[in-house]
Amino acid sequence: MPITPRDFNYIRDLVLKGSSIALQSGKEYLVDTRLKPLIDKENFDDIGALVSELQRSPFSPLHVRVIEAMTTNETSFFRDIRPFEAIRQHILPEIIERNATTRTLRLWSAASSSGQEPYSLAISIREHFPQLAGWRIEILATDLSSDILQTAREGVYSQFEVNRGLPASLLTKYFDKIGIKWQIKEHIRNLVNFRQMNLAKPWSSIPTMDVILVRNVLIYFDADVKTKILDATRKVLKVGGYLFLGGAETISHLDKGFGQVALGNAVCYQNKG
Amino acid sequence: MIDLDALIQDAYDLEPPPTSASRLASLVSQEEVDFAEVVQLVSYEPLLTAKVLRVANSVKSGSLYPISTLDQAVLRMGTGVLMSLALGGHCRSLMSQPLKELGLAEDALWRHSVTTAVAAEVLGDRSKVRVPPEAFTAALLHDIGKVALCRFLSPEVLELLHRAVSSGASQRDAENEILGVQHGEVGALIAQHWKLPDAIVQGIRCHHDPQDVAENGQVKTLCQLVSLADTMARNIEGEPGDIEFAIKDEVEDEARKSLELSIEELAGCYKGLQERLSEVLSWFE
Repeated sequence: MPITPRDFNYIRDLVLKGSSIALQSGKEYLVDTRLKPLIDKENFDDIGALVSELQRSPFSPLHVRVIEAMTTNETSFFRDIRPFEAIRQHILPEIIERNATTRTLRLWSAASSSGQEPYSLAISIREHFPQLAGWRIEILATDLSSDILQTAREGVYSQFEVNRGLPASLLTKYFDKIGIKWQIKEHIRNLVNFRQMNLAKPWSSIPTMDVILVRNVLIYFDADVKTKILDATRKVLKVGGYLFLGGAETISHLDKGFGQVALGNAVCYQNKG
Repeated sequence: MIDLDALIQDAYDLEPPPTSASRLASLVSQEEVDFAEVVQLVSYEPLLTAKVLRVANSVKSGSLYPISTLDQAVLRMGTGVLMSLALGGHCRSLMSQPLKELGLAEDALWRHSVTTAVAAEVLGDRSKVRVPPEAFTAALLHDIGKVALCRFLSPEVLELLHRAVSSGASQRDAENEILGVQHGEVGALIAQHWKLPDAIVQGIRCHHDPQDVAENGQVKTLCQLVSLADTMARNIEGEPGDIEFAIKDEVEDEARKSLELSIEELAGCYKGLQERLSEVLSWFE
């Protein structure tokens, strides 16, 4: 049975409070779709029963799982190729020169979902920068959903997922075929450190980064939260480091410490200090 | 979300085309086509040979004299049409079935597919840029993923898709949000499994998102052409007579510009499509 307006409003408020993501009306079908696996797994009769349980109890792991189920994002390898080209052609050569003494490189995929973005960075580094072999490379990958992070850590993808954006040559070089699935090789997985994190809540222990990608996630937040996230981002981005936002995301919330830079076909933002 | 592994397995179980058809598609997609080998392969298939001769002598070929040999016929029609003839018979049986779940009556999907293929041919003929020969076949097969989806999805999920579209979501967005995959990707997976050339696989995959093709080049041109041809087919379906068309979005307009067609020339393509459609439909009778 489709979700009732009352139950939809409850879920919408819960998701807004828990993640600052605003579900528009008309997205009732999305709530039905995304919560169906949870309803089946937890043996609720229907979505009404799930909402009743949520209303009965204080904030619990079940509430978190509902929020997580509603906030998983679509992603793909090398999604919108331009940032990856800019990182490969312009940014990494510059950073390699700049960090030659520390021999450390830190990148952060702030809304990593099922892992394709951080793994694309890792593949790009291994494919094009053999001179980084002896460097300390840290790719931090964070997401709100602990379920999706577990999937990301395993690095196992369906044929559909590897077909999205991944050239055949890279597929055969960096993945192992397991039945009808593909698993990213261990030496690439080891470059990425996955961690659960809500961007809208205070951040802790994020090291200073050379490059940060906060793509296709700010669109879900209201203006105040966006501003806070971008302020916090600049604090953990090295002076001279680069920030990438999603193609559809506006720059009106960026503080003046960021300068817009065009690198090839990509637009990004440099921390001017 | 649905069980994508089960969907993949189900899509792989769709009956494949004859090996000779896949082999022919692969042969004619190579950079340097071995014409003699192509003709030899066709000659092993009596039904295909007869069809090739019939189509080569059709109205559009404009030959003054009847074409009686296979090599002349293949030269006349071109490798793109030849590929479609080889695959079309098989695909027609899959794509003619009614897909009630999507509101498609018997033959509706097949007719739309042929219309899209003809639109691709007309656009390719009039475009000032070189269009890969795989365009016609990619257009013909662009919606084959819908066949696999309708076979696989439960009535409950199909109802969710229907609700999403009724709420104003596009078919593509609804599929992505509800299934985690869209029919172009399913179709591409099938074409990949059938070992069809990569240009066809990409053309099927990106027929709703040609802008997502990363690199400029012939494959992107093909994807833009299939996307525009799909739009043209939808625009003329169920609307006999003159078509009043307008470029509706940036993707369409970018495709038109990539093909170096003016608005007037695109309007002419609609006329060409209507004139040619019934003949091409008859090829697959």
